[in-house]
Amino acid sequence: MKALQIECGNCRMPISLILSDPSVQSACPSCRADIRVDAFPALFHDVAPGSSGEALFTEGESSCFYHSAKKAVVPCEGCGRFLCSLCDIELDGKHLCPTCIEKGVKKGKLERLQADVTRYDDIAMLLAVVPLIFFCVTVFTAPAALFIAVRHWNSPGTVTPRGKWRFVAAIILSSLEMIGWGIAAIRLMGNTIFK
Amino acid sequence: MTSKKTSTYRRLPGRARKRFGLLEFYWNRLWLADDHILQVHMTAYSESYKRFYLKDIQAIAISRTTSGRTANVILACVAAGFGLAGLMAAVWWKSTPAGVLLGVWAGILLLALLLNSLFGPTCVCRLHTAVHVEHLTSLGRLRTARKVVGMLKPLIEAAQGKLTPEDLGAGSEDWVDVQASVHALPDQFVSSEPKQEWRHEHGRLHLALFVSLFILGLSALSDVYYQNALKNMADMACFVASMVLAVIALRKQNRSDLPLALRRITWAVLAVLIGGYLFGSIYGAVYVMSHPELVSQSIPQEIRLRGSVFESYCIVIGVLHSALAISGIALLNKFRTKYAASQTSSS
Repeated sequence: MKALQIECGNCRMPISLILSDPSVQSACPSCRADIRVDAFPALFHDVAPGSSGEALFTEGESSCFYHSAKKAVVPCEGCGRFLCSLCDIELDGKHLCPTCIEKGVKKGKLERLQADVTRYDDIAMLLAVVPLIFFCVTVFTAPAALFIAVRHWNSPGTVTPRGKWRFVAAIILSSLEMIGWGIAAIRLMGNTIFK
Repeated sequence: MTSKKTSTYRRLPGRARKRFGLLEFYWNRLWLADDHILQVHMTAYSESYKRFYLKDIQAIAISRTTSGRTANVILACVAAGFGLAGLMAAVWWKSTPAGVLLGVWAGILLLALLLNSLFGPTCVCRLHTAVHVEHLTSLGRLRTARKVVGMLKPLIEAAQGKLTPEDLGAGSEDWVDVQASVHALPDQFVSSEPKQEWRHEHGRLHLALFVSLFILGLSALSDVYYQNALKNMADMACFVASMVLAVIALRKQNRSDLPLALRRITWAVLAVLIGGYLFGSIYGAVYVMSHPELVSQSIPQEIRLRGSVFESYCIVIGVLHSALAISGIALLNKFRTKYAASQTSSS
């Protein structure tokens, strides 16, 4: 028989549940809260040990670009550098070196490794919409909204599905605001010149 | 290098929001991809992600919590307080605007209570991998959590396979402890024997609390017939002492061997003390406002409250306090006797 050691989510007491079934239901002995646990085979798998890379034994053998004393096992599919098993990172079936991974994360090209993003579309929308309450400030915020929307049109966005309509709305709105200011400026100048 | 947008995400039910009024500070959501679950933590203008691959998930645990029920009790008590105060303001104080205002507040709270009840019981859902224990805050309602786990289970089993009776050690006489998230939890969990930190609590503080509560109950009953400034001050001192004792007793009973019924009575004592205080304060304020001549009293303790509502309040509070105190003392006595007997037999 196997007993699963787990923490009660309600009172945080460590409890032991008998795994008679992949889904077990019980009550916490401390707080009597109902607990349901669904267990999966990964629970019984050992974590695979990391590889430290094989040392070079003979001269003339290809060595790792980052560790000259380690034997190269694969070339990086991003930059072509030779990598030992310590430096080789397998991602989506491709072998990459840490530098390519770092560059990919910075440029937002590795969606799987993206840990955070700035939502520029929301910032552009905010700058285009909220200042409308105090219209005079749009003279500054409308160009800023337009700049952010155009500058970050192709910046890495959210990984979840999200359209570009906020960028489009921000561009249209900020353009209209700027046109309005332009017309107002022309009228003011016209009045001043032709008075 | 890999191309952009390789995964297609499907939104999973549930959302956790942290807000203060109309301002939202953050919200969490879960999304499902072909091979992983994505937890999105959104703040005002940024998002951060955590990915849990289906092949790595060891277990998903859902623990039912009492926070929803507690919120309902608090909302109901405060709504009742506002409702009664509104009624009293309209009937005795003859102030319709105050009555309407208090009534509207009571209505808003009742609406919140209704919504909280409709959303169902609350829970804590935790996802275990070999190196994580992640609290999935977006699955804060039991119904949603069960629905999502029901959706995920076949996908995880498709990625990992099903647990067989051999995996679970069926038919084996040996007892094997399995630890979820063995690389993530503190040391106390890693030992094969889980340490149950049950502490013996003698219950002297609980006894002092119940005695103090009993005195308060008797005093509340006697308020129907007799009130004076000195008695009111003594009542206030006794109330403060009871509150302090209740808070310390609640702290002490945590992870102690006191019986569950006794621990629940201590929580009920705190709730009754707070509820009684809130009602008494609101009623007192409305009573004084409807009797302006009482405002001239030099100290609040000299004010004598009268009326059928006040008398009913005294009787209800007196009976509640006494009943809780007597039940608590009886349970404590039983627990002590049982503990003494077990000590004698073990020695």
